[in-house]
Amino acid sequence: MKKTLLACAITAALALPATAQGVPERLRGAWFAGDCADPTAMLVMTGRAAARVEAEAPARLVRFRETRELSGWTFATGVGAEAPRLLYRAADEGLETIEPEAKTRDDRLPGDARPSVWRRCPATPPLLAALHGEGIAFLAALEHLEAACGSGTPGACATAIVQQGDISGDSLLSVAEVARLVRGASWVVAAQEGSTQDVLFGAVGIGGLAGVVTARLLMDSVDYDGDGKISAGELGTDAANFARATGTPAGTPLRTQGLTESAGMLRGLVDGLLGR
Amino acid sequence: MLPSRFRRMIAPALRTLLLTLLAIGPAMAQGQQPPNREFTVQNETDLILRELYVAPPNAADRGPDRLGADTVAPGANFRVRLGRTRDCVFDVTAIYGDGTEEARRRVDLCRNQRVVFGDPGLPTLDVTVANRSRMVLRELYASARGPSAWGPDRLGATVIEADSEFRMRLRSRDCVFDVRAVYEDDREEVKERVDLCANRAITFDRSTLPRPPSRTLVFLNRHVSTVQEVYVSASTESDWGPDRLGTTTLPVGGESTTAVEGECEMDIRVVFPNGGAEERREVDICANPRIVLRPGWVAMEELDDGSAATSSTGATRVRNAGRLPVVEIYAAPPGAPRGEDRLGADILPIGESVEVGPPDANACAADLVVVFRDGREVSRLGVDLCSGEEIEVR
Repeated sequence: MKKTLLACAITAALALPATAQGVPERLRGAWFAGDCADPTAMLVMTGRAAARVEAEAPARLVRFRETRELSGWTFATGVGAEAPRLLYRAADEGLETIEPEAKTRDDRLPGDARPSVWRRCPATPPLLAALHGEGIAFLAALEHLEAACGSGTPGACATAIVQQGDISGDSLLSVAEVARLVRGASWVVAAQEGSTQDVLFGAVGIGGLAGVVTARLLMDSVDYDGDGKISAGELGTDAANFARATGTPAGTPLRTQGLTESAGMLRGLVDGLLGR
Repeated sequence: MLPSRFRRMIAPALRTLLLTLLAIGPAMAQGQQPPNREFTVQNETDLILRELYVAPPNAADRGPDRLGADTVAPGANFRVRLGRTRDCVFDVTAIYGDGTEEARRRVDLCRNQRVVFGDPGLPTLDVTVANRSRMVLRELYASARGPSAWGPDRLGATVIEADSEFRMRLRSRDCVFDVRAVYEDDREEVKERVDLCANRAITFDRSTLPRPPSRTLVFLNRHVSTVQEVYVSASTESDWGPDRLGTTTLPVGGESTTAVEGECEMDIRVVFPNGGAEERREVDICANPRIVLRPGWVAMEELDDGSAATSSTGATRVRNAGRLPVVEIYAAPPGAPRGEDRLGADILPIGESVEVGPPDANACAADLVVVFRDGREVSRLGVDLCSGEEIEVR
């Protein structure tokens, strides 16, 4: 059941039309509710998504399928079976958002719903940065991947995957860099499922635990020249091998479970990107 | 002796003063102020003295509560000031914490400035009463003369919260008492012939109460969403009690069994992950031990599974093939008003389907109206909701 949900989430994430409008540059980045030293919630706006995390409530990730103007608001509709919605607009040195109830009809928006008010803070609190940093980075990277992989240019998709995952700047993916992608993907999927912060933390934790093992298995199956790194050429040459790289589950049941999920997630990601 | 010159000077003045005093003396005696009348009330009962009234005998109005905002605790005194009055005889009425009254008629407060309620000669028993149950203990009685003479509620206006204690004060020469506790749900627990002189503590925990019948209730989730929480509580209770699913959830298509103690009539509440909730009150769980949670279940005549029956006769499903969620579904007899939204607090996500039963068990034909989230309506008039077909709307 869990795997089906993960696959669905990734499939849905990749099903974005290339024509979606972007969030204005000045509205992108992290916004906070409450005191900057101890914010009650954080909202991250990327080019085509909004992720909201808070201590007690489930996370919400809306990946915009389409946006339009509505009575002074930007009305964004997300991907997914429930087509989540977000209304946003710039306010005095801040941002206002409305997340309508699921039953509320579009033609009755914005209605009398009270907007959430967000503001910028000098720095992201360290705990929030540690919990969500990699996930939000992956969310942004995913948008670049979608753009590149939807272009139809031969080799552009594999190159984009390597570019987005490459931290060291050698235009190759190491085990650590692939593991980081796994952790980021874990966060995105958990956020899209509406997980609470502790579950998000657990998802990233399991992703991290199994991520290295997964990355090594993927490396073994794609690294043809045996240099311990994946190049764009190796990735584009044999995407099928990458997809089958779940290998043999080993270790404790927890680790096997995490491995299977992480591997399945990355497999779905790469399959989806290369197959579009 | 004063000098004679000085005596001559003040003699006229002294004479004038003396004459003045002689003249006004009787007048002063006639207008002398009445004395301040005060007395002490002594509470030697084992109840709080809540109100006190002092009035002339047989007066139509017994006047104000002389305690004002005060009360007199068992064993305590209170000074009552009546103000200036020449009256001596009064009726003094005490009202205790449990509402009972006691009156002293024609008390002469000039001769006796202390009014005692209760018998100060009786020994005092201080007993700690513990409520170790999970329910509020509402009333407490103690009787040395058997169940026919329970006397006043020893808690007065207070209660003993769950897992709390109360200090009960008894003025009596008796030691052996029957003690009776009445809980918030009206159930009673009696400890018989307890020696409160030997043991100054008594505990109530409902362990002696006969357990109410336990029933098994099965929930089947035929909704289009996971059920996050399920609550079941007696219709007579104001609290929903604990989430019957505990740390788990009830997925779509899933089944959950819970044991319910109490009578047959229960209220049921389910909560969805999006915070939406549905409730149905006064459900006879003895007649309906299986509750199928499905769109419209809160208003359906049949609460039991019915899945066997509907599958054999072919229940109709509505599939959302549109590009937005469906937010309302109506199915009513042809030509009739739409009735209630069959989705209740739920929605039908894109690509998913939901079972829509006939509006009447004996009539399958219905006008079906599906409302998408953008307000667009799709109607299917005169459809057969027993056909077993899937109706795709887009």
